Amino acid sequence: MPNQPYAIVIEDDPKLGVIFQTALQHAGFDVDLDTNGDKYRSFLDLAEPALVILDLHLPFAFGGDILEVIRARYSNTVVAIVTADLYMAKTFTGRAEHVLIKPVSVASLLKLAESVKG
Amino acid sequence: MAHYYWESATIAPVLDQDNQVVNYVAIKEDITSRREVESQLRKLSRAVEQSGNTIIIMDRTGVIEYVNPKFTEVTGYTPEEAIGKSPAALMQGVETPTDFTQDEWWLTVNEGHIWQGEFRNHRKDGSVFWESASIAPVQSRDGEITNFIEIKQDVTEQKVLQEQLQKQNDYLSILHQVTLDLLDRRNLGDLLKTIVNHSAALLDAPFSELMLLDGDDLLVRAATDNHLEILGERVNRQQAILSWKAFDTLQPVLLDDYSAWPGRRETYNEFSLHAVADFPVIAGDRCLGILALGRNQAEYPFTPEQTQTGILFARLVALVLDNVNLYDSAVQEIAERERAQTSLQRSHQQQQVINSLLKISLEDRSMDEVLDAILNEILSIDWLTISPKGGIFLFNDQTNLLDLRVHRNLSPHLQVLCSKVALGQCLCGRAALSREIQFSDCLDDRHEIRYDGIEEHGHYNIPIVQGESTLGVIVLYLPHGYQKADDDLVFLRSAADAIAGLLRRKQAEILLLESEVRFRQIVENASDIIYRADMNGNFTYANPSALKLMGFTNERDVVGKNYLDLTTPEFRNKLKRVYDHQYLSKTQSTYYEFPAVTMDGEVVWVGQNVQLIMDGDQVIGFQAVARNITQLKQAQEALALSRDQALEASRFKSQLVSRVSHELRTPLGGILGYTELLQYEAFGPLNPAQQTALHNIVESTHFLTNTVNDLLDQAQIESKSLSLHNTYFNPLTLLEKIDTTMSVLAGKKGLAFHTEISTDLPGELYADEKRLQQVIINLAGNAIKFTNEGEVSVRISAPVPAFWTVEVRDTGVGIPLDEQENIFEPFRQVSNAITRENRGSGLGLAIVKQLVELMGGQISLQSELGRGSVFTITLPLINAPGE
Repeated sequence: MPNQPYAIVIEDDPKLGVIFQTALQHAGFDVDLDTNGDKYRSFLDLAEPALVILDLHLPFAFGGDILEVIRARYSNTVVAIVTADLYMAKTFTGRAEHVLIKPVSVASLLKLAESVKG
Repeated sequence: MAHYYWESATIAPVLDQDNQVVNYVAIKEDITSRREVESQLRKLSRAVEQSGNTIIIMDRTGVIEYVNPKFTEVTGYTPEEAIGKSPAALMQGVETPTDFTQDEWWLTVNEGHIWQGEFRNHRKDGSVFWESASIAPVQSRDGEITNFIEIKQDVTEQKVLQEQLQKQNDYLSILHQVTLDLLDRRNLGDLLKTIVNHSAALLDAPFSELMLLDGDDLLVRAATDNHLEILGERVNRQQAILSWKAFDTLQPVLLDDYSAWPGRRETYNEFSLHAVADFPVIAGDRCLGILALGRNQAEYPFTPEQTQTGILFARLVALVLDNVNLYDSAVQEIAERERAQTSLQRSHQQQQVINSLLKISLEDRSMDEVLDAILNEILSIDWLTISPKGGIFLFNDQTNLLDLRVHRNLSPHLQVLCSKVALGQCLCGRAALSREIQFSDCLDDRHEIRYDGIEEHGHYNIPIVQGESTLGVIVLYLPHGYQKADDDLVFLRSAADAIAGLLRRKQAEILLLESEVRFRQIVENASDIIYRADMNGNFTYANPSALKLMGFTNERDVVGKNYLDLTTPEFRNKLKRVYDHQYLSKTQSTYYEFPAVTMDGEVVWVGQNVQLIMDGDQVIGFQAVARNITQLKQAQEALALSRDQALEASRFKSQLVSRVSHELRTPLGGILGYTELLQYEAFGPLNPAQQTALHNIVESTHFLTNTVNDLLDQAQIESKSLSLHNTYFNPLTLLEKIDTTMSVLAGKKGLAFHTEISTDLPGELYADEKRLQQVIINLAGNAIKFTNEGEVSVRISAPVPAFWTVEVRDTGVGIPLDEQENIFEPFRQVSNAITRENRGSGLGLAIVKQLVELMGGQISLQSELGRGSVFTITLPLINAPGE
């Protein structure tokens, strides 16, 4: 589907990763999932994502660094950070377009997805 | 001795009868006298001819019959010229009448007597000469006067000498008189007066004046009584031309008819002077002034002789004046010496009084005793002729009145009337207000305080002033009519100064004593340790607290000890460094804590403020106020420990909360996510039972999520890590959001939900909107939770200035009174209110309360069981910082 918007989910918890992926697919996105923080670069090479769901604590990377990479490459990508860490949430408020505190409801994700699609 | 005599003799013989010559008869006649007459006549004739005297023989009528050659020699008239004329007609000059018949000499000789006297005659050449004459009548045998013989001698020379002698006598007498006057005189005026009077008499001039040089003018210093009005007149060179001419030329200046002279001195116009003479009074080569004389008689000029006399007299005046100057300066010196001595004596006496005043001992005397001593001292001055009566007032700062503090011999009336005197009232008040000595010699208008029968008297009212302040007034009584003396004033002023100093010292001493007593009481009773040490650090004083702390029983035990001996050995160097530095850098005040070792060997922590004691810019010691801070120190240590532990615990808790929250949230996310995906039928269609199950799962998960969030908030608040993010927001918008959320919840329970905003609220509020929303939703949620029927309402208003309120009201079950105070504590819930439907974490109200307090507000509760509850949040109306 060439008209499908592209989204990347970077989340180390496989369950949550699948939930986010499923929810976004449900909202009409083409979604790639990186559960370790080591595949997102190749995903970014594929196309400019409309939306990135980004966890901060990852086995092989730190979400903050990934945010920098995205920012350096694409200017239109909407980044939504998901974290259970309130301190981190506070730190990233303003740096990413959205900061979602876990547990993230599917409803709020769908709402976000709709807003990105425009 | 044998005498010769002349005889004329006739000798004849005597014959007897015999014609015998028997005897000779000689008849002799003594002719000595006749021979003498003849010889005398011869001699006379020769003498007349050759006489050194002038001899004139006049006939019976006084006409010259004979003159001897001397006559011609003396008068220049030949005998032919003289014979046939009377001597008067010949020699008395044209101006004298020639009738001599009434002259004294003529009358005398015609009575047959010899006249002797002097004539002033003229020679043929007109020159005047004096003759001493003896005129005798020549009588015939029958006594008839036939001739007169006049024998004269030229006595001009004697006459002149005599006149000179006379003049000299006159001078001498005047000089004598003047000298006597000088010796006798009371003042220079008298002497000058004598001079003009004498000069007037001597020169036969009714007017005389003496002018002396004074600056650029001649000043009239003396005048004869007829013109005393010119005394003190000053004349310059234009006004008194003649006098100044005499002054400049050092020569007498004469004028015969002054009244006709156009250059007259104006003041002389009235005098109608004719002959005037101005004699310079010359001492050495200097003219001291002018002696001026004047005559009123016309055509009576000063003769050369008189002029000469004037010159001489002027010299005499100069001499006298010179003497006067000498005498004056001597007298002046004596007078000055006397004055100096008197004033020295007076000032010595005054100094003695002031010394005595200054010596009045201030120690161990009350102010009134000091004042009493001062009054005694002043009233006992014998050379100050005041009455033994008076008093001293002191100015009272509080009442602004003069208080009579001590008095002597005052009437009982006055003791009462003058006990308090206002500034400006009566003489004492005036003295205090004007700060000037008031003098009165009688009861004048200023003496406002009086009573019936008050005795006449005068006063000296002397203000005691120092700098800007008036300390008091001394009142002294004077006899009625007392003459004010400058000397008195000078003395009283300096005495008042001395007294002012004395009183100041006494007042300062009293203040010092009071403050010393106060200070000592404070120090002695202070719980603080107070001690002093000299510049070497040896104790000079220690208060009871200090002694007690260190285990000393007596101040003697500690005085002399060094402060370093009282600390632990390991602290000595530190302590020394600290106070050496303070000493060297002259740091006024330091605070330092160190362990001290008491006599019992116990270590006590002392914290002390040490101040330098300065004398000028020299440090002379230390003064310390110290405290036993052992307990404080222990408490601090304990506190530090517990703080460390608390910090550690807090860190641990934060980490734990963080981890727990993370660990809880992630699986919650999984549960919620999958359930929601199922609900969205992401994995295929569901039947109604499955839908219900999923709904329940989602609800439970939400509840669990809220609980986790509450826990996290509480943890954050407790660790103070929650901070507010204040912004401006529209309260209406906030209320709309709340309405949207809560209406649904309320609607589900069949309750009405109202929101209301009052018009007195500002359009924008400054607060953390998100937290505020959390608080209101929490309260409204609770209200809905515990209300089964009726309504729940939220109202925002600003009933009082500077505050705004949020009221959440319900018609629910209400909260029992005994539960109300605990309801805001964590994990508290009204016990019987917990049902299956309204469970919660038990943290909601605790979090609400803490958030409200964090916002600077308060929360209150009004509730009645079965009727409902009202939660009211009151928040301050604030603006963003910097606005």
